[in-house]
Amino acid sequence: MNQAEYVQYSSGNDKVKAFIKGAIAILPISVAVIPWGILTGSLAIESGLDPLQSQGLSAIIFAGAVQLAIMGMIQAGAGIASILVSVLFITSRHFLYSMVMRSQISSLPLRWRLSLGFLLTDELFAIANPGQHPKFDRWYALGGGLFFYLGWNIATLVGIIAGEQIDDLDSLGLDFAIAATFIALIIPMIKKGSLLLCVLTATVVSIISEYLHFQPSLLIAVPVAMLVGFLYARSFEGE
Amino acid sequence: MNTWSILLCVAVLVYGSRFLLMEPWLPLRLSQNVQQLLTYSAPAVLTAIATPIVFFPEKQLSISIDNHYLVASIIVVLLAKLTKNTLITVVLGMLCFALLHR
Repeated sequence: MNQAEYVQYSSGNDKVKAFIKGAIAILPISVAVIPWGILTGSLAIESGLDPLQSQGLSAIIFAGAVQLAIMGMIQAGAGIASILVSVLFITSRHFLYSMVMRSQISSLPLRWRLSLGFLLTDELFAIANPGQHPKFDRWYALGGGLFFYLGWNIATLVGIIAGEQIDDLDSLGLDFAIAATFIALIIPMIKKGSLLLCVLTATVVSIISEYLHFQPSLLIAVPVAMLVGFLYARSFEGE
Repeated sequence: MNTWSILLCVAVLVYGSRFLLMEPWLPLRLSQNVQQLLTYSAPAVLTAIATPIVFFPEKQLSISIDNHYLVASIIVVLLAKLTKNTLITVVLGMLCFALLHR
């Protein structure tokens, strides 16, 4: 495996600076997920979890899509096996992320692997992946990850409090916030033809598999789109 | 099974999916090709999560001007291109959606 390049700091001051830089980099995404966090908190209450459990979803699981999926299943009285299989499908993309980050993180000390692993969300991956930063900066990643964790949990708390007071919070179309955030993250990633093709393929294949009820569509659309982008780059972009 | 036990099991599984493949003791060697392939994971995954929300409001496929999610998403794409600023893009995009969806 290629050894990654690291940013090394000698003074604590520079570490703090990098930490803050990471927090600032993830700030826009954190603001953007506030509606989604509020929705997650309020839906958890609505689905019958108590406030502490609702906060626990965000505090210990820390994965929006998984949280939304399991609260419905818990409410419906689903068994642990079917809950875990569904979670495995939804969370499977994290295997991809950690495989990508492996070259950057695997040689760090255990405490770094444990904490950056816990914080590795879609959002942190979006700002800290090697495509964005060829030189890995652990303090930058930690700052971004922790700031996002804090933001997500505060938004959840607001949702829990609001959810106990406002009915029909979910009819406000807060789910559009998820789509808007992800689109805002995707567009700047499209730096060459193969990436555009990958995104278009993911869109079309998702639509088709959702339409035909192939569930979860994620598991079909993602490998196909990655492969199409990769093969196009190899054939036409000389990689 | 009580709710807390379920939450803990799910937390362990999610954490494992994020953490495990970064562990150095795991004999996992990624070839150049695999590493190249993996660079497409982020856009592919994010697109595959966003697409059903945009194209299937109310769980029904809707490709028309009446689909507020789709119209607002097109605006978000344009905003992202024009402003190159995530925060402005998302805030203005949400505003457009709120106006459409009233």
